[in-house]
Amino acid sequence: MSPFLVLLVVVGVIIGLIMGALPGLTVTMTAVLVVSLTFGWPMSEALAFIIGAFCGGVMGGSISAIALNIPGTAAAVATVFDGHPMKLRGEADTALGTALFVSLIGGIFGLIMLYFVGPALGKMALKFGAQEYFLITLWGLTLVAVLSQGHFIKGMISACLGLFIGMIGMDPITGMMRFTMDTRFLSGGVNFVVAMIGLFGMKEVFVLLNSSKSLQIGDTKYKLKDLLPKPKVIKKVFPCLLWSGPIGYLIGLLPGTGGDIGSLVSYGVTKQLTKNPSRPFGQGAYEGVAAPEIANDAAIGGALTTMLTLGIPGDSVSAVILGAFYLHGLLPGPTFMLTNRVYFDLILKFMFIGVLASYVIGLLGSNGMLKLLRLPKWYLIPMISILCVIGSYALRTNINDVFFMIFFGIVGYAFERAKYPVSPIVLAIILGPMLETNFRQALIIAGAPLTLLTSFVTRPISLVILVMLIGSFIIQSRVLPTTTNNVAPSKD
Amino acid sequence: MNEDKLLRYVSMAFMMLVCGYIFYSLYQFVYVQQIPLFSITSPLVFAFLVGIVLFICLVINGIREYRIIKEMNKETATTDRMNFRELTKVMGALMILVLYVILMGQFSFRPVTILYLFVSMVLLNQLNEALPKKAIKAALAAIITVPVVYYIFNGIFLVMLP
Repeated sequence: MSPFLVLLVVVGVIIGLIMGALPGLTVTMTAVLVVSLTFGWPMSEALAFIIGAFCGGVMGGSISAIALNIPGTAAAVATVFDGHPMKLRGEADTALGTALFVSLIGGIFGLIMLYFVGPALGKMALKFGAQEYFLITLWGLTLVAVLSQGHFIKGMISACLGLFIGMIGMDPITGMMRFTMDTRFLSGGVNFVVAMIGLFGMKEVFVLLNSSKSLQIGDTKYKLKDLLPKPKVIKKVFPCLLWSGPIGYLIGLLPGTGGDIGSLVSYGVTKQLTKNPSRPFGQGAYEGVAAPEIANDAAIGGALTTMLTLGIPGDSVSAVILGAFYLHGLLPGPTFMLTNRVYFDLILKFMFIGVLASYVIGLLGSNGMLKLLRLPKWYLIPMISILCVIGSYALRTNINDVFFMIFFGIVGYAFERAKYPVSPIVLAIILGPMLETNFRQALIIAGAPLTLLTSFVTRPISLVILVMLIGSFIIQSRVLPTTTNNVAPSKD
Repeated sequence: MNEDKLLRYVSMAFMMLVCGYIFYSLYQFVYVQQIPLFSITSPLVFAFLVGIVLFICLVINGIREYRIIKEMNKETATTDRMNFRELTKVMGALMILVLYVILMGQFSFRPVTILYLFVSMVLLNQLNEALPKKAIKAALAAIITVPVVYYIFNGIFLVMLP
């Protein structure tokens, strides 16, 4: 591993921590911008940068969650519940120190699981056919639609929009042009990275235009020695680490769900299982900070496992990383472990360096990041728009991509304001071609629609996936929203 | 609750257009280009299924939205005025952004971006300061930031900017 690659991971971590700490700049947006900028780089260097940004971004969300009561990223939503009350009690250092330390543990746990589960899942996936891939991709899409904010019908509408956008251009099997409005403009299809920058990045610019003037931080200042883990706190939170890590990893493993859901579920479960918390949940309980933070970092390992072994993104960030692989001509999937094992090993190393660097830089740079949170909105908003313009232009040095990006930004804004979730659009754009290709291949192999439907139950692996799909649909549409809706703590 | 009725209408209309376009295109393929739809090798079958699912979801959602908008109509006019102010800001930002991209394509990145940042920062600065002070702050921020950004992306990331 060359020192240059280590440096790239560290730089990625710094950028990820900064972007993760700033509310409104999501980890996904960070990853999208980083992918577009590293398009022309060798794959190993691009991966180093992206993984570093991923690790930093997830950890960075806790900084503003604790200091501002606003999660820097979706994965830090549950950290707010007890992190900010701890700050109000004068324990900001303990809150952030605990968050950073358990994030390190969660990241390493996810990494270990990726190392052992990844190859095993890859071997199993070698037996997958078109039916299995179709069902797994469908599973991912429907989960995201069900779990997204708002009514699930709106999630399905968003997913259909993404599927439609994915169909623009050349048909993957026959090469026929579809939905191009007879324009050369659309004959190459819609670049999904451009759509992502618009839907996650530019959309936030329009949303931030109407939010408050600046973020109120107060006079919070961290001392390094107070940020280091305290034995009494670690002893108190240790039990919840035992289930939060596995919960985060398993939820990250499910297609389409990631750290945001993992952290909320982990918080909810911890609230149920911890009989004698350090304090009542919602009033600064140490367990309330530790549980979501370990889960959201463990979910990174889960999401990457699904992405590398099945070629299906585990969450929106791994969807972006999957896109990066496609841009470099690589196809993650079951044979990836056999033909491109070197990239799997590189990802493990980058992730290890990434979580470690995130912890160290998080400790040393927390005050610097607080200064960044004081940046005025009138400076931040135009800067984000410039980054989006550069990111979308950088892919093909084509100014039309920038116009597409702005179009998607407006669509994303309108959709968000009308309570349609945006994540299903992006995942459907990426998964749509895979879903369609496998569906049509399965239909051709089966020979008739009825035969195709019966093959889903007669093929053992398909049947298992179908049962898991229906089961997780029921669990996640009924149990998870109940759990996640009940996790918001009650205040005296 | 600060719901945006207009954007709900716009989003529904947009998706209905998309659904309509899918079926119109399918009609063109099937009846004009004579490409079979209900064939196991048809390149249109998946699009047809997506169109059907979308249509069903739009019908269900349309009924839900109708009920929600009926509730929203009972809210005061203040909410509508607030929504239109917000939308005006977004439309204004969109126009400035589109103009910026057009000019960037015609001229060069650095001067156009400095101008864009200057104008945006002055307009977005809501602090109670005199306009000359806002203008000086914005000008300094733009003149310092753009060369740094250009160096980072063009010099380090090797992104070819206009």
